[in-house]
Amino acid sequence: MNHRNRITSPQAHTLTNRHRRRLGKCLLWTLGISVLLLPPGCSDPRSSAPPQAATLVRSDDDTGSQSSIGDSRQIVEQLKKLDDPSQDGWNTELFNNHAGKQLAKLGEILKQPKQIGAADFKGLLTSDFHCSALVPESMETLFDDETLQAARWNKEADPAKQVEKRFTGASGFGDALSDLMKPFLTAKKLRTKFKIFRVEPEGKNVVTRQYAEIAGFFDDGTLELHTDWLAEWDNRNPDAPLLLSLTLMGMEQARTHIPSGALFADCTESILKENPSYRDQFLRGYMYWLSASQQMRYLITDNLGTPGIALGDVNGDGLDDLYVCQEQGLPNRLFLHKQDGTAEDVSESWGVNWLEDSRSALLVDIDNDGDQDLLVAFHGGIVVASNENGERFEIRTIIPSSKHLMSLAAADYDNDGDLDIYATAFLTQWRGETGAPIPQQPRVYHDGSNGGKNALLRNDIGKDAWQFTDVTDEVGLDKNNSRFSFAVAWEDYDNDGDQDLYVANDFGRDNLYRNNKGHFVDVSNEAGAEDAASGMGITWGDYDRDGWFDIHVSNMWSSAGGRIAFQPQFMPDANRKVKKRMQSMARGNTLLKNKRDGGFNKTSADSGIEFGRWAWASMFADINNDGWDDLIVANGFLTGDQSGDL
Amino acid sequence: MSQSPERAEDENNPDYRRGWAKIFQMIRSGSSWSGHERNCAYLNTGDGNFANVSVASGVDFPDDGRGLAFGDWDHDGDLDFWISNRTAPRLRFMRNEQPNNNHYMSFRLLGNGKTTNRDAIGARVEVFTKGTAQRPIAKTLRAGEGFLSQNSKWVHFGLGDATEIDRVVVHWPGGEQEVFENVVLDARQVLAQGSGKSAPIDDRPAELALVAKDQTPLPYSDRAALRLITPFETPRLPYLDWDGQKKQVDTQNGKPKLINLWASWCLPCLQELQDFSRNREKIDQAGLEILALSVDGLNDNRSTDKDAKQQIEKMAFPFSTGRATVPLLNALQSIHDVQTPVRRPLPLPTSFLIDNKGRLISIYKGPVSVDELLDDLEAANETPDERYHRAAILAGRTLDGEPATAALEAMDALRYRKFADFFQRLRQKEFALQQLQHIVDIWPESSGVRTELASALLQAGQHATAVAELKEAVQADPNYLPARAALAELLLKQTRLDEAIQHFDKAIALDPDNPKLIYSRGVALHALGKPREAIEDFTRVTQLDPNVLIVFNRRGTLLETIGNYKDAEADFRHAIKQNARDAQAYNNLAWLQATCPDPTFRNGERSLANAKKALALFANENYFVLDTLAAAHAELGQFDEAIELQQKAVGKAPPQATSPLQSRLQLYRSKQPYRQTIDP
Repeated sequence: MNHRNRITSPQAHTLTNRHRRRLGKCLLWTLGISVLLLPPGCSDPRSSAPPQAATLVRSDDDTGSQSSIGDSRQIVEQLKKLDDPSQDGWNTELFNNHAGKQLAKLGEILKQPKQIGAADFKGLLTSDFHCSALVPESMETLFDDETLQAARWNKEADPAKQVEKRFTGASGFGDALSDLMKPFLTAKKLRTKFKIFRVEPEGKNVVTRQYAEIAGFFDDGTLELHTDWLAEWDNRNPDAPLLLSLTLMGMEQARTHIPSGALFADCTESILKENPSYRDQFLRGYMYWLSASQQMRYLITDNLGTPGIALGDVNGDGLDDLYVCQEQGLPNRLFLHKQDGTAEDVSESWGVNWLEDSRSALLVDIDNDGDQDLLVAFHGGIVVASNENGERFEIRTIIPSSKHLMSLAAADYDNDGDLDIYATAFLTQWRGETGAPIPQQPRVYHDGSNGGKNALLRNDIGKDAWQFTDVTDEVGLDKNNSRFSFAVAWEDYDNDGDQDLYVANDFGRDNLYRNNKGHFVDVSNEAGAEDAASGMGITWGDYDRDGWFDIHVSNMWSSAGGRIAFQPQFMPDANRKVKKRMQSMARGNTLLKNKRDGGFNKTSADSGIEFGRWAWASMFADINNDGWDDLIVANGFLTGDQSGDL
Repeated sequence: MSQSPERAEDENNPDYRRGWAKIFQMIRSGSSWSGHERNCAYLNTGDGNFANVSVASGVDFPDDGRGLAFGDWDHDGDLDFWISNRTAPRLRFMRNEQPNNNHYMSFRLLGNGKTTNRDAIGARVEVFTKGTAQRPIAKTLRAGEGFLSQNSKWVHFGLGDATEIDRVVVHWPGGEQEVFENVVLDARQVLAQGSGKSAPIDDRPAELALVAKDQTPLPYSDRAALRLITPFETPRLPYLDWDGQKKQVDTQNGKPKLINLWASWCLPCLQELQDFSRNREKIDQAGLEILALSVDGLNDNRSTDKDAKQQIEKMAFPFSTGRATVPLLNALQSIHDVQTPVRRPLPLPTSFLIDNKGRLISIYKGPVSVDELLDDLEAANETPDERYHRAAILAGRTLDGEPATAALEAMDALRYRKFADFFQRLRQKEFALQQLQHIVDIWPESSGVRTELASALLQAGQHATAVAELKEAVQADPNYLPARAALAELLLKQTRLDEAIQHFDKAIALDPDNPKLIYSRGVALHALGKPREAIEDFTRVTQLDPNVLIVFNRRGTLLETIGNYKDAEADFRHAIKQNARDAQAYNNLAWLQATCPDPTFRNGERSLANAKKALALFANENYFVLDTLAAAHAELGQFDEAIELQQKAVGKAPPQATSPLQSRLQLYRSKQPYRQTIDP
């Protein structure tokens, strides 16, 4: 920034308006105290907000049966207003709320498949309602072995295969739903969920697209339907829109036959229960810890929760142990894997129960001496600790960083026989240009470029000192290096013998850096690997077994984002490119297929992985040992304990 | 969802900012944002497709999943994984339960530690099965991927129904390729670089204690002890005594204090008060003053303050008591809210512990034991490390060393900044200043934070301290322009002109094309009686930014004083041309036309017209316009009007300005017009 615009004068000068405007804008960005310098009228709108009314809520016991004695109504009303879509101009969001309620009613009906014939659908359908069959006549088999069968049908992919059958009126709808739910008649338990992902007003009517997920749990396994419906609504009564028609657009189903019920079973308690920290620390959610936390550094990431995990054999007994990172004020934990499969919390005796705000850890042999050392990215730097005879860790150095560090990934980028470290940073420094503390947020949502700088740290560990050298700039990784980077993974995607780098960035474009013998070039654009979205996780795998590694990027699939961003009135004046980018921000996970020529093809929609929700870590892993890499995706942004969801 | 700005210049778009603010407010009070989303699982069907098997997988928990780490934990030949979550349970171990008969192999790679790192991170492993035309299965050993995650270093291959393995090729990082032919199906084995041989290991434990069972998270609770990392200077807090007399909690009397909020109907509150009573001796010994304030009857009609008073008397409660007020609750709630990201209504009982320096050090949401209180009072609480350690939610250790301390200090600074904003909102300027002073104490070398403190001092009217602070700032970094510029401007305002000019010189050296700085220096030079140098500065300003109109009036006036009437007139006319409503310019021009010693520039008629225009444009009937009007009339020989107007001007002028007006009045009385004199 040019200092010139930052001058603040105690004197009221009669400069022109043009000057004054420029001055104001620059100062606004430093928030907080700089606001003190501004003339009245330029101040931060938030600072004039009146303090909230206090409320006391009684909590008689731990379980918190609460009775309010204070005037909590005020806050509740305020929140309601905030959460009320009718207040923010997006009428379709209001419609989504009402239609969502109607679909939830439908979901309840579906949960009683035996009684569907008796349902009258009162207040749900128009008198002239009609629908297509909700089950396709035939589906393409995707997978079939002794435990699992999966099939798919998609109207848009294959328009020739229309669903011919047509149903009318309430009784017809009952028939269509009965057909749909027939396989669930013997289910022990049923779960339904609808997500409206497009809303388009058409005159009096409104057209929506929604995913319906129907899950049935049987004695011998599960049945899940993931279906996509096009619905027309009569919106004459906006509080309770009526379904005019329903058309099946796509369906995918999977049926398992597994004695245990599911492919994976949660055995955590049996592994960890002997450790006090299991109950005291891990059975409480981050929302609880936040109420005792003073984590107020930044905005979104205040509340994110960063429980990074790493597997590695720290005591050389052939069993992988587990290190868990924890947020500010909560100790990190090291669990030693014992012969019987359980794990013992040894964080205190190993000296690694650090209370610093930790994000991610690596267990790697950083000094090439044959044991697993520990690196932890915390807010303040990276702790590097050496493994001392498989008995404890000793801190050898702390690499300082004023950035908001997130993920770590190790690789020998210069092929010199030791491991180097790449660390991603989400937000920038603690201190702004004035040297004063500042919080940061992305300036431009779809193309944020005021994030923290990531760093490549070359391993220069010598006999006397554990030294790491920041070589980010000299190796060319300074290009496009101020995005909001959540995740990183190394891979030799061009099969030339050195490690390339993919960085997943929130608020815009990702980076693919090609390694040319130790020098990096950002090729994301030309390689078609930018994936401008909300990147939160990255995994590599050769999912198509062609010998060339492919990319899966976790993004957010936000139904609200989809509903809003695809409407004509969303950013009507924006140019097409910007609008498209905004739309893609909430569009879901991305699969980038390696074209073997240095480029990638986006195959997310075709391959069926797009709807990965609000995803964080994703990992390629062959979960059924059939030789093909599957995908597991960790999901969900912020679940509060209050009702309401953005 | 708010509309995002399209360009960085739009970042201050109020809708965008409001959108964020709204989202944060909702989340902080417990709303979800894309919460309750379930994890997903996709099965690779081998033909480019993935089948959604999220439900079948059994991993579709709505936990706000974050990290994933895969490995064959139970050594049974398939991949299990750990998942970490935001929501409880924060850890899940998911055991692979698939009963299929597919084959596998698992490899631990050992690099030679010279050309390849010992962990062999970056090695690519290819498995060639016999009897199929299919390409090999390839995996790379990576350290760190997904999000905040690292998988096991065992490289796991599912092999389907393959029964014979042709060979395994390892591409070691660094380029070396090695073939392993003796690999064993359905086994874990070590591949050491350079050995060419696989070394199977049979380490499968006989008996495992793993049991599938749902976890049972502990419920959310409002109870928490918030031990402040950064102590918070507590302002005076209002309350009432039992007679309704207004009182204030004196937080500055050098004694530690506990403000306890309770109600007569709240059982845990009464138990807590009884506990305080029982421990009176201990509490007195520690010098702790307790003030128990009842909230009975505040926005609630289940009880009244009379019930509370009765209760207290019945208990013979030995400490101070009184009634809370709504403003007190507001204050305490907002003091709480500024400390933590979760802004929820305070529960009952809640207590605020203030140390002997008047600093809030703990907030106990829910009952607190006396031992806990006294421990917290005694705990070492000065260095960032001590404070951070004390504030830990669960026991652990803090990192030593410079980077860790720097991080804690930066956190302190950020909190002080928040506190400063908080006090600023409450218009508690002294407290706000104190917070900024703390930041300066943390980073004394930073000119920036000193400049911010100085700005706040100015706002609070403490000009002398502001100057001192700015002097420190320019000393800390002589090249920090904002400090230098602010100091120069402030000195100018205080008419310490020599000093001001000295700092303007340095500031302008740092930013030579800054019209604002040059203008201000011109003003200072003018005031110091250096018109020629001032004119030079003003001329430079007109070149840098011709839109700064005030400079023409200023320069014109100066040109007049050195007798350059031609350029002076041009300046006034230019100002008028640029802004037809520039009253000052009309007035200046009229003055020149009435009083110029050089008759070529004098014109009584025009002067009168311009002076009238100025009079009309000024909001008030200013004495100096009347002075000009009188001069114009005098120039026209209309001395009666001139005298009348001049008397009026004298009447309106401030005392220090009357003397030249008086002398002109004398001139008019003796029927002489006024003429300017030239500055030598």
